[in-house]
Amino acid sequence: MQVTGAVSWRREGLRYKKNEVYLDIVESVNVLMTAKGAVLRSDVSGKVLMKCFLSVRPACLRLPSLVAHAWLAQGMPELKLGLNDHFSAEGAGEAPASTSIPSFGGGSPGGASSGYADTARSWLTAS
Amino acid sequence: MRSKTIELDDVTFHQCVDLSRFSSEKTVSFVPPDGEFELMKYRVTDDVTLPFKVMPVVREVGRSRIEITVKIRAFGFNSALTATSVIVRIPVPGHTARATIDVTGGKAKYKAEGSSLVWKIARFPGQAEMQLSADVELVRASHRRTLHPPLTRPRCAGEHAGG
Repeated sequence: MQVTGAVSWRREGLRYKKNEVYLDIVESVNVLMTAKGAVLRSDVSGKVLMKCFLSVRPACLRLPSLVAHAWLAQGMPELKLGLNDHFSAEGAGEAPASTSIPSFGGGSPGGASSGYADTARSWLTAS
Repeated sequence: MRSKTIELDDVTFHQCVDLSRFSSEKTVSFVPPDGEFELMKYRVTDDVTLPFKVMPVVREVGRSRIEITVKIRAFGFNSALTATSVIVRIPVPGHTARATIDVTGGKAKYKAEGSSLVWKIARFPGQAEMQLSADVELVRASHRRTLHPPLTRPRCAGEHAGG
């Protein structure tokens, strides 16, 4: 896989005139409260949705607003997203198998915090 | 800039994400599939900053009527942003006969199946305020106490709570 660059989730030989990447963060906030207004339970479930239309060899792909970049990895486009400073994850894994990842905190390379972290909890760097 | 760390629970990535690079470099690196896909899923359960302030007032008028007022203010985000698909479920007694509902925004209905008033607001702009006022009429013949379920049946905490 590393040698040929082929991956099971992507066809080879894709060509697009315009290389495009769309990213959406969709969060649902669920709250249960009493008739008097006391919060009993609250949680957020979030999804990071993407749409990628990238050629095998993008000549020059730039995503300045995401501080993300793509480069050639064995003939395949590769994306790298930076994380917000205030982000920490526990028990991260690949779906559906759950592979444990040690938790961490602290800064990320080139990370500026998002302007509306309060509501969006946008962990992706949005400069 | 916030100094607090936001902890994500139950994080799962699409199979294309390089997990070893996520733990070593704190970056989400991947060769993307073509087209649309879900890159990542997560939950936050600790210290959730609520985007709305909900102010409910529930008043029992005698044994056959309940007046409900729910005021919601989008205090947690600025007016340039909009929350979408806001749904408020307000439980009412199982022996509700009918409900007259007034809303300043969105649409609300009494749903007999779920014994609740369901208020749907498709778009809720930041800093805006919306209100629901409902007059719930109960079936008179009922001998049940209006708002409180029988204690013999086990139920989840807050199942009968408003909001």
